[in-house]
Parts: sequence; structure tokens; C-alpha cells
Amino acid sequence: MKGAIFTGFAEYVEKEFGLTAWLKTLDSCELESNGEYLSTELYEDIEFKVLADTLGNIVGVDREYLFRGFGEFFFPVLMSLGLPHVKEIDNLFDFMRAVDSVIHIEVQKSDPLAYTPKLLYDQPQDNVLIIRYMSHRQMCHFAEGLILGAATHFKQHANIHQTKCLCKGDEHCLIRVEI
Amino acid sequence: MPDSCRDLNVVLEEKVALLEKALIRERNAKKKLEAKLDEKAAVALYDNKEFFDSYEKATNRQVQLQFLAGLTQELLLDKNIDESFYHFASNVAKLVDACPVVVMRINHDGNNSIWSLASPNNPWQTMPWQADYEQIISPMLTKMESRWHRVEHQEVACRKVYSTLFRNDMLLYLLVKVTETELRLILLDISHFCYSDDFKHTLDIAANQFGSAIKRRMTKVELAYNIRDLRNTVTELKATQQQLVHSEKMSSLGQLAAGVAHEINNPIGYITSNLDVLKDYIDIYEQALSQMPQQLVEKFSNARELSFAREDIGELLSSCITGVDRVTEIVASLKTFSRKEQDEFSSVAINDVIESALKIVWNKLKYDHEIVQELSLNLPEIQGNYGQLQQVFVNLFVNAAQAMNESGELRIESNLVDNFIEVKVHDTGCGMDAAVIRHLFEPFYTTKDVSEGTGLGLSVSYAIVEKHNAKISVNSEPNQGCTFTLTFPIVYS
Repeated sequence: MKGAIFTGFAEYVEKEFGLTAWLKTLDSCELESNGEYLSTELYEDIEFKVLADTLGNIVGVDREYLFRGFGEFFFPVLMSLGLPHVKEIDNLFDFMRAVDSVIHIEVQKSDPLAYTPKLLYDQPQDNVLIIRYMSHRQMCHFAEGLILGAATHFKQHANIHQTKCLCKGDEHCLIRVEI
Repeated sequence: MPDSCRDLNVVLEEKVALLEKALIRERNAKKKLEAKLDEKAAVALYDNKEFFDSYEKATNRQVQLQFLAGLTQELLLDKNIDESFYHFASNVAKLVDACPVVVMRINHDGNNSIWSLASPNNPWQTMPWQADYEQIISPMLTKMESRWHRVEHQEVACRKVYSTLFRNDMLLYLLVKVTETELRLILLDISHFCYSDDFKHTLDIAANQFGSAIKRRMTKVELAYNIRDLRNTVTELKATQQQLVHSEKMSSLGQLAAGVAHEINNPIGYITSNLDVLKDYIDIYEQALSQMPQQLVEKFSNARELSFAREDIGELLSSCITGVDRVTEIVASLKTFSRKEQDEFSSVAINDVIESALKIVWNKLKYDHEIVQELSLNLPEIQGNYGQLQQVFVNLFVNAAQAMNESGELRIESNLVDNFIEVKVHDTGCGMDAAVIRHLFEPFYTTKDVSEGTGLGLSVSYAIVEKHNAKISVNSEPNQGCTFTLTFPIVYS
């Protein structure tokens, strides 16, 4: 997983739960990277889950809550990167259609052949977008957070629910977003 | 708190504050460094991105092209419409996560059908059509053909009916027009339609190809029907042409015969009249001679010849009168060919005509032949000349009797067929070959001995039938009997 996610997560935890919580988390985990993250590098996926679960235990929240909150926090970070095309987007659905390429690009900078989540879209109605999320990382709740962050950014109200979820054993997640 | 302790706290607080500032500086410095690295990585990525994008696109395209190529190949095979639908629907279903699929055939006359495929490896199942299905499909039938459309479960009017057919939340459906009266729907029972734009585009191309292939197939079928119709028309035209040629020939021969009859009529008239007068004159001579003494008569130098002439003259004269009477009869028959003749037509019951004709020929048939009458009751009347029509049937019955030398069956049927009365006269006699049939209705054509027939019977019958706007045809083979079919139009008042 891209180091930027880890560094971003660190900032989110600091902001949400305080520096001590983050340092305690790092201190409580046995990490191959020793918690020394560079946003440009790639790290083992498992480290992120270990960090999230450890932090969850320390601050008393579940992984889904953390991932969703982190997604919301991370959206402005992604926007601040000033990626081509993203700057011109002015609505939630267009951003969601672009988010796949945003994430890809960030990961591919470190390793052009690196594994990236697969996002596919369907818009059965004007106010509904269904996202098919496929990734062995099972970061669908992070994706939900990003969508909520984007909705706030574009000043649109969004209802989100998953009709299928990898975390529940389905072969993919179907995230239904209604504005 | 002692001063030393307070100083230590201040020192620690100052230290923490400084360390925090140092941490922020370090973090910012790290971020700057990362940003620089990121920039370099981005340059490297964008240098290669085009290549990777092209590679990915090419890989995707290859899969899609393989699918489309396979589809095209299958569509080119000469499958029937049902097979084409089964094949296309199952292949697309295989591509769309092996989803269940339903094919519906919707006819304007309400004779609808439904087939389902639970998964690509299962066989197709025929299901009973339910009227409720129309609630689901009626909005679909207004959509554009040969394009995929999507509907969600909650958008469907009758959810109860929906759940009897489909188990997922969404339908991807394709409407294909087969004929002006038949539409078909392919319904893919899917949980989502989240696929790449390329994939959706491929499905649309496939739908379009399939729609065109079905249209082509139906055009072929229509062409085949048109060719068949054209062939039938050509055959009919040929038959009509032959009939026309035959009619013209018969008409020319008829006119010729009528003309000859007209020319013969006058000489025959005065010959008949003169023969009568001659007979009277001869009687006078005979009376005069018989009053003369026999010895005087015997003194004539040619007494023997005179005696012979007196004996023979009566017979010769009678023979001449018989011959002339026969010629008169023939001439009278030939007059039938004349189209100028105004005959009186009235309403005629064809069964009455047949029965009266049978009575006339009864003596010829009653001993050796079986007569079967299958005359339909309550036939409408036709417009015609009773006497002439009777003559036609007498001719046909006499011919039948002559064709069945020793024994046989004469079967007469009358039926109402559309707006015509059809009369069939069938005998089990010697039949005719094609060469005889070709000349059958020509005047003076006969297969009988000269003493038996003039060859006018059927030609006169033909002329009479024509005058009645009716048709006569014959169907026969040697030793297989013969059937004459007469078709009379019904003129409703």
C-alpha cells in the first residue's frame, strides 16, 4: 500500500485522537517498517489493518468507523495534490468516476505495475451511482469516507449504502450512492 | 512547589514545545522531500503511462474483439431464429458474470412464449406464459431496438410477478424485432451493471450486430418467400398462357367451324328441299311407269338397268336424305360456336340439369355401369341455358359410357367451392394420354370410329361452357379413368 495512505492516516489520527494515540499505536505494533513511513514508498497492506485495529482498541472505535472517517479526512488531501482533470471536477458523481484514476496514479508513481483497486460504475438513474469495488484490501469503507468527503466538498448531500460487501464474504462491494 | 521542581517543569515544557516544533519542521522537511520524489516519480510515470494505458486497452480490446469475432462467426452459421437467440443470449449471459437469462417471444396475436436459462451450463427451459408478465414487459416494448436497456427492481410495476421470474435486483434487456408481428426480449437477470465503458460498448456492438443479423436472416426468409411466390406466379402465368393459347385456338377453330357451317347451311337447305321435291318427282315417275303395261316397259333397250334403277332409287334417295339430315344436324351443332348467338340465360339448378341429363343416357348406362351421384344439397343456382348445359352433361356421360366398354363406375359430384360450383364427372374407363388430352376439345377431333362420332361433342361442350363463363378441365391417364371438372361461377343478385 502506498506510503501516502499511512502518512495521511497518521495525520488523521493525530487530528482526531491526538499525537499520543498515534505514537501509542505505533509503539504497540510490531511493524516491519517500524512506523517509519515515506509517502512515496509502498508498504505491506497488513500494516494498515494492524494499525487500524490497534488504534481501534486504544480509542475504542471499530475499523469501519476509522476507515470511513479517514476517507472523509483524506479527500481534501487528494484534492490538494492538484492532479490533472480533478481540479476541473465540480460534482460528486464526476469525482467518483475519476477517483479510480486518482488512486491508480498515486500508487503507480511508486510502482507502475502495483496492484490497484478496481472501481466500475453504473448510473441506473440520474441521482444514483452504483460503484462496484473490487480489491483484496477490502478498503470499501475508506472509499465510503472519500465519497462523503467529496460530497461535503461539492456541497451535495449523499446517502450511501452497500448492497454487497467484500467484508461480508461477497465477491465485490456494490456501493449505492444517492444524491 | 520548590523552585527547583518548578524550574524542572518549565524546562520540560520548553523542551516539549521545542521538540514539537522540531517534529513539525522535520515533518515539513520530509513532506518537501517526498513531494520532490513524487514529482520525479510522476514524470517517470507519465513517460510510461501512455504505454501502460495502451497495453491495458489493447488487452481489454483483445478480449472484446475475441467475443465479437466469435459472435460474428456464430451469426454467420445457418441457425434458425430460436437457435440464434439461445446462442446469443447464453453467450452474453456468460460474459455478464454468468447471470441467469430469460428470452421472451411476444406476438401481436398474443401467442407468447418464454424460455429461461438458469446458468450458461444448464439447458434452456420452456416456461408457461403468464398474462401477468405483460405488466413487466409492456414498458420495455416501447424502447429502442437492438440496444441494451436497464431497469431496477424497484422501478418495475409488479414486483410480485417480477420475483417469480427473476432473483436479482436489476434487469439488462434487449429488444429485437423479428417480424412486423413478432418481437423478442432478452432479459439478463443481474445484480449490477458496473462494468467498464469499453465492456458496455462491446455489449452494445454485440446487440447491434445481433439485431442486424436477425434482420438479415428475416430478409433472407422474406426473399425466399418472395422467390417461392414469384415461382408460383410464373407457373400460374405459364398455365394461364397455355390456357389463353388454347382458348384462342379453340375460339379460332370455333369461328372457322361456325363460318363453314354458315356457308354450308344454304346449300344444304336447298339440297334438302330439292331432295324432297326430287323424291316427289320420282314417285310421279314411278307411278307413271307402274301404270304402263309391263310388256311395253320391257321393250325399252335398257329395260334391265331401268328395273334395277327403279329398285335402287328409293334406297339411294333415302340414304341421301339421311346423309343430308346428318349434315344439317352437324351444321346446327357448329352454330353453337358462334359467339354472336344470343342465348337465353336464366337461373338454373345444376343438380337438376345433371339429373335430367342422366335420364337421357340412362339406357346406355343402366345395365353395365354403376352410377354414383354425390350432389351437394342446397347449392345456389347459376345463370345459364338449361338445354345447352344438359347437352354438355349428356356428352360427358355418353363419352364416359363409351370409355367404359364392359363395366365401370360413373361418379358425379357437385360441390360449392368458394364462389363457384364445381362439378366433377369421373369414370373408370380407359383414360387418355397427354397427346389426346391436348386435342380433346378441338372440333372434329375424335378417337372413335368415323361411324361412332363426329368429334364435335366435346368441342361443342367446350364452347357452351365458355359461354357460361365457366371452365372445363380434364385429368386423365391411360387406364386410370378420367375426370372432367367443370367450374361455374355463382352470380349473386
